[in-house]
Amino acid sequence: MQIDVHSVTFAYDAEQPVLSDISLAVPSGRAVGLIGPNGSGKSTLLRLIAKSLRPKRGSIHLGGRDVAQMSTREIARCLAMVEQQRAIGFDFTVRDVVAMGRFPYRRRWSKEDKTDRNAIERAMRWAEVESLANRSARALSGGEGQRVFLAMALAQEPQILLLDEPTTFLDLRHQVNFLSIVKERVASGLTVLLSIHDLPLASQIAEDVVLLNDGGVACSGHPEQVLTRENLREIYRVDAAVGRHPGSGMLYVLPALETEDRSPDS
Amino acid sequence: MRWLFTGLVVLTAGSVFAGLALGPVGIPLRSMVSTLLGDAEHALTAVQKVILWQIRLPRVLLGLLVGSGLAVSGVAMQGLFRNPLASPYVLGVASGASTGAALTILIASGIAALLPVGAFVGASLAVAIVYGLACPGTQRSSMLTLILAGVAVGSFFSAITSFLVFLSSKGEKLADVLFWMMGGLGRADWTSLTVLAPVALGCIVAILFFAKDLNALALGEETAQHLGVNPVMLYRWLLFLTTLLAASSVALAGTIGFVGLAIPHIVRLLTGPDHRRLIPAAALAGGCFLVWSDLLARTAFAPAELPVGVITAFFGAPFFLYLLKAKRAKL
Repeated sequence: MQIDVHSVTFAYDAEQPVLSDISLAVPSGRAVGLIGPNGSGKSTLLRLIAKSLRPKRGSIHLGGRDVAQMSTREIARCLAMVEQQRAIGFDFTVRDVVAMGRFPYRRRWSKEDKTDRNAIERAMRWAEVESLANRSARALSGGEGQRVFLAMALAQEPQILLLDEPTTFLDLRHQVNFLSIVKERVASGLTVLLSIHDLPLASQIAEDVVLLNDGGVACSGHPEQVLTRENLREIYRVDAAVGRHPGSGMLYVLPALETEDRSPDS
Repeated sequence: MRWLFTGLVVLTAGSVFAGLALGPVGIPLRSMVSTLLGDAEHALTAVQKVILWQIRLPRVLLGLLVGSGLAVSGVAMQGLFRNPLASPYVLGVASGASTGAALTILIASGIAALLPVGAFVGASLAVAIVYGLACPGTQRSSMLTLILAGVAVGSFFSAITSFLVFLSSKGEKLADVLFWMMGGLGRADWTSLTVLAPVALGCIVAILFFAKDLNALALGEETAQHLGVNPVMLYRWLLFLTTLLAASSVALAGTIGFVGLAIPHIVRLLTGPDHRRLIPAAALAGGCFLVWSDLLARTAFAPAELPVGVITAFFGAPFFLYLLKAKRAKL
């Protein structure tokens, strides 16, 4: 299912717009990475697409339908989102949390039916959290917790998955593990838009990346075209060596610490 | 889970019979049954009948309703605020009701029927001010604003109540105000029950309707929304229902503490966090707890009557602390 953002403007208060006149499209079945400095509007854009926020101007379409015309339940049936991690209010088990992904499909008092159970079990298998099923969802490590929320999102059987900096607090092993699971889902047709700070990983998970800066799209396209030394210097104000690893062909970004002049503005 | 609900229903029935049978005038269970069956030999005396119908039954029913109401509004408040310290009184219901009650006692002490009306108006006014100040649902940080506004408005109303107490230097009215604030079921009668019962039961059923949404809300407001919950509607409805439930309970029984805070926690240890089980179980447990507390309050120092709030906290708090220590991880 395709995501279309048409010239969207958004501001938290009247003064300074966080996003101004931004447009982008995520084609169905593709993974697109949102990159950019802190405060460039990545999370805001994701929350606008999920209708947690409403644009001041412009419109957002999911599979051709305007989100402004869709109920929260309709959106929840086609779009799932994994946010940056938050505390869980009560002592639910991991399976309870994953089962909440079926919320948009179930009536108030209906019991889990076979479709629900299958979706829950499949999502837990995909996200590799089956062995945690009866653990308390509050007693998990960062990597486990993030996979549990991914399982909940997958149990929603979405066509679109939004991920807000899903790997930020994970160690190397769990970053790779998490993004590999997501990549597998993309291979079977899921549309993914994710914000991510790790540029080499972004280039591996995403076929296209969108570089945001100051509330607008600075540059977008194939990772190799966007992640250039010039762009990094201009947008991130960082001097970095960028290239392809000769053996694997993977993109690398090696930022250099500033040695003399500490002011990033100069 | 089935045994738990069976147990709670049996316990509730047992509490009702105990509440009816025990007191300064004993009313044997056998006589109650005989009267119901039309067996004249062991039937109740006329005095016993009056005590049963005009005093004890309304009082036991009021205890069930108020206990259920406070426990369920406590569950809803803890779920809404995702905070284990939330109680039915966080938005100023208790302090508003106390001010209303104190004012009514000072101005129109002769008209007993006005007391619950005054308390209800005071409670509603306090929550309306809190709600108006914080405007929930318009922005994300509003729940914290709501709690802070509740604390501030609560202190303000408490100050007014203290001032009213200070003004009422005449001993009798002062005692009336203080006794009301400590809570009790002594004013139970059929008239107030016919008003409270539909309101309280209606609110409890309506809150139960939102049980699944409260579960999703445990993951956070935005995550709940991504699962299809409409958080603005949920907050509006639940704040309205819990306030109505708590305010009408407090209006008739005074500010009984502890039930709304601790019963939800105690029951959550038994049922788990799923609100679809937690809400009905808390309703039954809260009712039982208050009926037994009241039984103790009116028999322990008979013929004098302790305020039931003293009993609920005196026995509830240590039990709660024990649970806290024994099962700390679960709360």
